[in-house]
Amino acid sequence: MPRKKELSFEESLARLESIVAQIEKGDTDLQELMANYSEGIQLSKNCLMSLERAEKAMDLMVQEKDGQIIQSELTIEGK
Amino acid sequence: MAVYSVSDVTRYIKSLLSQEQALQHLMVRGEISNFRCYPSGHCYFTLKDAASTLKCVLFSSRARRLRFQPVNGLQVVATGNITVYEKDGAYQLLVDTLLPEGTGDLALAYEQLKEKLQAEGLFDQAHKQSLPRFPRRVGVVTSSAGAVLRDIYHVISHRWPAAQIVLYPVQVQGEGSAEQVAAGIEFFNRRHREQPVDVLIAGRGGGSMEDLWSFNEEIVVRAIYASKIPIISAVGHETDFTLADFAADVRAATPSQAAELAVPDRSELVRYVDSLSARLVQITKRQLQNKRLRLNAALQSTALRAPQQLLAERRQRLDKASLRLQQLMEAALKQRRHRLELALGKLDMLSPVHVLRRGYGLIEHGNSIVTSVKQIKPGDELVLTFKDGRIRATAGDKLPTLPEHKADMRKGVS
Repeated sequence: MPRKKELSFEESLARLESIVAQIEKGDTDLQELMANYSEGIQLSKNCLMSLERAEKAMDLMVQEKDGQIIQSELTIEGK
Repeated sequence: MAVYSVSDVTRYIKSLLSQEQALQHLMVRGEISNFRCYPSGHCYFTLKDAASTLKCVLFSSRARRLRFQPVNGLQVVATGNITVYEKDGAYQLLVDTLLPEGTGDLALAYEQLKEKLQAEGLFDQAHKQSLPRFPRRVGVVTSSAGAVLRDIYHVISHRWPAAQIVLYPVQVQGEGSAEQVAAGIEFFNRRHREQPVDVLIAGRGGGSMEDLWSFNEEIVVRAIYASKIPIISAVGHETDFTLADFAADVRAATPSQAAELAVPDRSELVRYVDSLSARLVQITKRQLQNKRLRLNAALQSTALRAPQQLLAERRQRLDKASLRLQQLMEAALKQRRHRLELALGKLDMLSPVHVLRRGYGLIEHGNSIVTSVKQIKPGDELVLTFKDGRIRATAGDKLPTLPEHKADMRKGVS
């Protein structure tokens, strides 16, 4: 299946899981089987890549004063 | 001797009592009886022991602050001042605080509030929301100082670094802390558009029941129940549950555990994805093998084999037929040849040549074969043909007929 945009990790994983489940049912024809297989392999590569790429996001501290959200970087003592 | 009015006496007694320090801020132990509350919110009861009774008044401002519901028969310690109610001319205790004796009042209040909220359905399993699998932003309502935030930070950055922690700092104990915790939960729900979080952790570290108390406050429990964002409660207490724990979608025993519940483990996921792709390879192989087996089985089946077999059979029949045809033709030819040979043989026998071979001769006169004496006159030119040649002859005189010819002559020439 052609993909327009890059899938997020969770979308990729969900798609991979559904492909595995579909192949496990065993009622696909050869062409579909091979298409599913190569898509599944690509998805698992993408998933692993995004897991490895994941970097620590900047943490935030938020407060609300007079209806305004005040946002600042969160610093952790002794981290 | 002066005469005083009732009011004067009562007022005098009142002033005496109000100046007596021993009757101010005193604590009195007794059993509650005749407890009754009025729509105004003021409550009246009597404290008694084996020998005496003491009238008590609990104004609504104080009654509202009680963490438990006073009932008759309950042993309590009341704190307050002795005053005189002039109209009745009776002294009474103006109750400031009321604590159940024996059981701590916190424990009692906890039980009472738990019962009330349970009856309202705030702890219903049906209301629980499931946690997101892969949260991008984790809202945390706790103190900005202390081990709780640090524990959550360490667990999240280790397990799922991509998740962003969004802290709403609050006081987690003391005056006003419950209101702050509730406000934090409410903030993430109300400002979800500006500060979206996928899951919330609300909690604090362990401590005494009094320390944890804000997480037993009704305002916090109701805020948790009302939250549209899934909430993990994380009050650092392994054994005791706070009311916040009951209302939360998931209860964690410690803040670290809350963080573990909130985010997936990256290395575990790597293993999971690995196992998925291994399974993908394995089942695809198996499917291919199945298809190959099915293909082979199909090729073996008569249905597919039939055309070839049919063709072979037909070819065989054709071969047989053509062989038979050939045999028949040969036989027919042989037969005909034989018949021809026979016919030729007969023909040969009949042929004049054959007759000549046996010593007969052929007599011609003119152009016709002479078969009778009557065709010839003496002196006619004759041609005699023998088996090996022809010769001219001239007919002589007629001879007398041979006896064996007489019958022939009678038959043939009548």
